[in-house]
Amino acid sequence: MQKLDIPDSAIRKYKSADLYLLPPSLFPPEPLDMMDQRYLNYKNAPIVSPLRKPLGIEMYNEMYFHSKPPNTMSTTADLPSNTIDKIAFKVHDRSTTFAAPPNVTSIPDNTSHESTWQTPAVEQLLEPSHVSVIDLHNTVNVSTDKLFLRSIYTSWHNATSMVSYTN
Amino acid sequence: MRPRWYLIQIDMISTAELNPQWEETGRYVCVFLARHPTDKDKSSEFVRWWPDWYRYKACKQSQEISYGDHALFRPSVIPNSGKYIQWAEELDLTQTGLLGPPSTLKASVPPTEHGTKFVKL
Repeated sequence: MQKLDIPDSAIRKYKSADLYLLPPSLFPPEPLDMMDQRYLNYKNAPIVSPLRKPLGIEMYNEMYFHSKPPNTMSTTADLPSNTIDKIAFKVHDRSTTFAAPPNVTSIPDNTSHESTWQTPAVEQLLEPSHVSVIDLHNTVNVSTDKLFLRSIYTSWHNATSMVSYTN
Repeated sequence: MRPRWYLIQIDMISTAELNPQWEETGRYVCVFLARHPTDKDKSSEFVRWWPDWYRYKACKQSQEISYGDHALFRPSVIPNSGKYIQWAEELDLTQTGLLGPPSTLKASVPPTEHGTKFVKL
């Protein structure tokens, strides 16, 4: 690139990405390797665009964002063309009520692989209830890995009077 | 205050030592498991659940234990008991808020034997 009015001026080479004329707000979804992008999150100041001064670009907002936006009202665009579109444009009905979550009265037995798909663990986290000592003891004995999920209300990592042990 | 769910593992040996009446009271010594820090972006069923070790200091007079930073050890490693402590608590499991066993979760810790034989799956 060489200045037009100075034939003997220095010839500078730029990458094509550096000559991108659109403002940063109009970058494509996958931004190019431009100067501002290249030096983003770096301590270096962004390099001034080499075309800003020769092309008289003062502010991108004045150039690309006019005070009077063009009329975008169209009789064909963004209008429903079939019945499905008309249904989609309607206000969604939010009055649908969901059924109450089932109450868990005993510790579910999910030791078998088949029951995993029938009673996922996510649904069981809704309404835990009191467990009898006998059922609890049987469930603990049946469990091979002794793993359970326990809900705790206390601020766990701030507790200081916690019973603990070392090996 | 909203409850938080924790994955616990019942330590039967410690329960028998600390609470011999566990069959009547329903109080078990439970070891808390924590997800591996590098598995934060994974769903719970694919997370490695490792024992939760912390540095600690014990007061010489009151024997009160103050917990320090989190320490990461492999499940097969038993760190120095003078420096590290594992989070555990005697819980009344008959109260509300117990679910399991969670078949979708696979802990990296086998059935606990006072934390002495951790084997990575």
